[in-house]
Amino acid sequence: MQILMGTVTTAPCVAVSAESNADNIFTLTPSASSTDVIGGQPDENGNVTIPRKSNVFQMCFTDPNQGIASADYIKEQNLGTKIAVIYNNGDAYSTGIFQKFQSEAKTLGLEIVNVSSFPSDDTTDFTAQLNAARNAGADLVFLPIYYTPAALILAQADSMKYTPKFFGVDGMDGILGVKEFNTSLAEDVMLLTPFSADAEDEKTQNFVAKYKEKYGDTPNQFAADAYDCIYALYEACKAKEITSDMSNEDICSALIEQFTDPSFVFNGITGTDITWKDTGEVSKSPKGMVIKNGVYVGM
Amino acid sequence: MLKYKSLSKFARTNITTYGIVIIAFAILFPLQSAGMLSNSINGQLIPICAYIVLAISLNLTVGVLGELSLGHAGFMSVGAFSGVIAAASMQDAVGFEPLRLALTIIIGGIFAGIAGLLIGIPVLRLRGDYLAIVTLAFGEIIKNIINCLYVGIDAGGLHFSVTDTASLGMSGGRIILNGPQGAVGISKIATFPAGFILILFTLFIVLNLIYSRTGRAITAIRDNRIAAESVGIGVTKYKLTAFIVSAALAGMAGALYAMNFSTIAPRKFDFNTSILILVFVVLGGMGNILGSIIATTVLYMLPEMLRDFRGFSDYRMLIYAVVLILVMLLTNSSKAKQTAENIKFRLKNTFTRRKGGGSGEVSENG
Amino acid sequence: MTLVSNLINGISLGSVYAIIALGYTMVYGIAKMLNFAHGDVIMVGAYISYVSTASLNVPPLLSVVIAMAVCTVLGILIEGLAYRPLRKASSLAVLITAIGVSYLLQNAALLIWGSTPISFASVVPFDSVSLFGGKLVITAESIVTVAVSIVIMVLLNLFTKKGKMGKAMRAVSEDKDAAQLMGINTNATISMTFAIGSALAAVAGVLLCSAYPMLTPTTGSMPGIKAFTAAVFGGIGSIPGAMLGGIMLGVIEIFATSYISSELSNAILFAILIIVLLVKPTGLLGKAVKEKV
Repeated sequence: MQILMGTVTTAPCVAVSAESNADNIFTLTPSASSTDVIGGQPDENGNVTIPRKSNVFQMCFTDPNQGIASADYIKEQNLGTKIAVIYNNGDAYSTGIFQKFQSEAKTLGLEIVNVSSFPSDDTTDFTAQLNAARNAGADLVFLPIYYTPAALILAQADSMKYTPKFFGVDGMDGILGVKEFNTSLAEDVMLLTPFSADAEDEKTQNFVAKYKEKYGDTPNQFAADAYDCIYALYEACKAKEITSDMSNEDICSALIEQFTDPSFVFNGITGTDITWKDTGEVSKSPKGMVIKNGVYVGM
Repeated sequence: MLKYKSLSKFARTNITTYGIVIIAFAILFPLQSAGMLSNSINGQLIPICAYIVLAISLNLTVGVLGELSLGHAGFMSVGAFSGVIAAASMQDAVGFEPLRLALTIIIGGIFAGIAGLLIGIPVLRLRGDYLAIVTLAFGEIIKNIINCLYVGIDAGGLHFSVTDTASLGMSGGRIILNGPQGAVGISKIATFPAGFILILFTLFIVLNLIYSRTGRAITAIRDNRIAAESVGIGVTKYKLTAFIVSAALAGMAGALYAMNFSTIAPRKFDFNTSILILVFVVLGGMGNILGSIIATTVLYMLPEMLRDFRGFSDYRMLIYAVVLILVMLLTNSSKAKQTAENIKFRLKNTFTRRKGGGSGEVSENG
Repeated sequence: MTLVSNLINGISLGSVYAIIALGYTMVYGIAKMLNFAHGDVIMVGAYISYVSTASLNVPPLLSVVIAMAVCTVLGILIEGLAYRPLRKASSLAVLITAIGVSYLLQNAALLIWGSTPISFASVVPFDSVSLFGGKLVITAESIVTVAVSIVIMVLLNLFTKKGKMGKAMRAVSEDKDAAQLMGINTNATISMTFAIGSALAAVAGVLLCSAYPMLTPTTGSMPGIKAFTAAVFGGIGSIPGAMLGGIMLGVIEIFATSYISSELSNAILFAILIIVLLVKPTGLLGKAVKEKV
């Protein structure tokens, strides 16, 4: 293997990136968003758990940035006054977003009335957490989690007749694709995502059309991220004239140089004017979506 | 000169067991050092060593003592995480990696042994199915407790918390255990020779235990507890001995296993892992130590080797389950035993002359 | 109000455990074995119901009946192929075989239906009941689950106390060989036990997934273990015991999640099991059995 495009989710990527770092293989992950993937980021107490892995870059926002962006968005758009959070504390992704959300909310003066957690994505009963949120009077529930537990939370909130606004992050993407899911339960759910298949621009529409033709399904943001990754790698390889007979170490050094070059700007379907810092983080603007009538609509 | 055949059965088995392990190492280690092993096999060597030790230690409980333990992964995880904490604490103090690894493994074993003692005292008062369920319960409890544990280290020493990383109260330190996310940033100091030595150590302890007076007491308890009690064998004491030894060895294997990865989560040491080890033990033959070693190696490597065969990897667990059921049926059902006896009887009579009445009997199981 | 709400949730969850526990306790009482695969029969029942409604467009109630039928056949098959040959074997061997069957079911389901979670459509057609001006909401699933479990328990109790088959089951549970000597067809009796247990498991599976609409091949595993805990807690072999154990376990689990911690709720459940087994090994309603030498 000479270059790695992957992995999709955070937890395996933390482990895989450690290995690719040891083997000097350039790694561009489409959607593994934890700071543990790129390493070198201090947490809220200033402790650095994992040193920077210089060969690892992300196409997606880091969780802290998503957490901050979510708090900013909620404040700006006045989406809720009393906020509850339900997060997965067994998952680096969810915990990372929550921690930054919490500190940003504090700075902005947003009131978080209740925080509850669950230990893993196969938890099935959320009545305790939802009850706690309801009793605290929350009118907006922030869900920095993946869509599988989110689907359960929405269903249980509905049968409990608890109807706050729900706000998710990019992990919520895919909820409309859960088999047999009653999409009316996801009505008015908001999420922050870099990609929407309904966006009007030509690049997105081309991608969606070709994807539908090949796979018979609408692409979600994981698909879009991966698509952008391949093209970003392609453009970087072209710029550095990388050939397939080069060793993975040489390819790695060349790609690191290219990605951290401030003049390397990538325009993809998950964002325009995408650039990378040498910390591995990506710079692009987030988009907010709301689910209306079973489809994503830009906010 | 000692003839192989003339040795007692127990010596023969022992020599075969040690021999196979030593020969395997003698072949693989030079290959590994020369870099001639594929990345895939290279990555499996240490986990296989760990699982072999786990299988042997579980065999002590299940095969020799005759009690089903469904929480073995719990002892593995106690050893793994206490080992990780110990290794992180010693990182600056003990620079020499093999020594640090050895100390880590020993500490992992000690903590797991303590866990074995604490769990054994209540558990071993129960029997059969209830004992099995309680060991399963303890396995889950251990997993859940480690899920809540946050450990960090800084200039001031170790900090513990059961709420979150913030309440550790550290400044500029390193987080070792991050609750449900487990241990991150482990420095991988496990080596194949270390695994080999651990296997030898385990064999030494277990084989000597089995063929000693203590071991005979333990098998007596397995075969007929009431009879054993009636001749004065202190059942609890011997059960506890077997259990603690089994737990300690599992802890050592866990520590070795953990030091081979950069991250491990408590989630991994769950009921499924316990079952996996149980499958290794059962398919290798209960009480058969050499069988455990071979079964573990084969069953662990098989999925990796056949990964390229699309069909197999999808059907792998299904095939394991079917084979497990078939093996249990063949070795335990009265019909199968009878058929086996019949075949043996007929084979014997085909090759030997009958001496007035036939040799061997087919016993009816009522 | 949260207390009442949690209590109701607990009883509802507990009723599901109770239905599963009834299956465990019957099989243990009569065939003297721990059917580890019971939890996975639950999962199969839920999948069959899902397939009936989704692909065959069968009305929900009929899909439950189909699930019960399929699981009954499955239970009898498992008993005949995997457990009957081991009647004389050690309980260790039987337990391991049961674990093998459990894995077989899980992986077969994985191959057939994949690991993608399916959002199960509730078979309960009623809406939630809202009391006290919206402060207390009781879901229809809760009400139906509790009602069904009570009905099952009553029916089962009647069946075992009266009726020839019930008497045969009690006889086999007391002394299998003596029952055979009395002319009772022990094989048929044990098969019938498994059949009833598996049918109940199908019902439990459908109800479980109606309340917690996420179905994967491993959905039945943890509830199965917890239900076994409940059966032991209440006294294995005792039908009212299974009911009591199930309800109590459900309440304890919900209360532990709400008031202590969601991570530790399982640990607390199991700790209680351990304490009960040490203090009163036969469970709350079980009878002590003397071991003959």
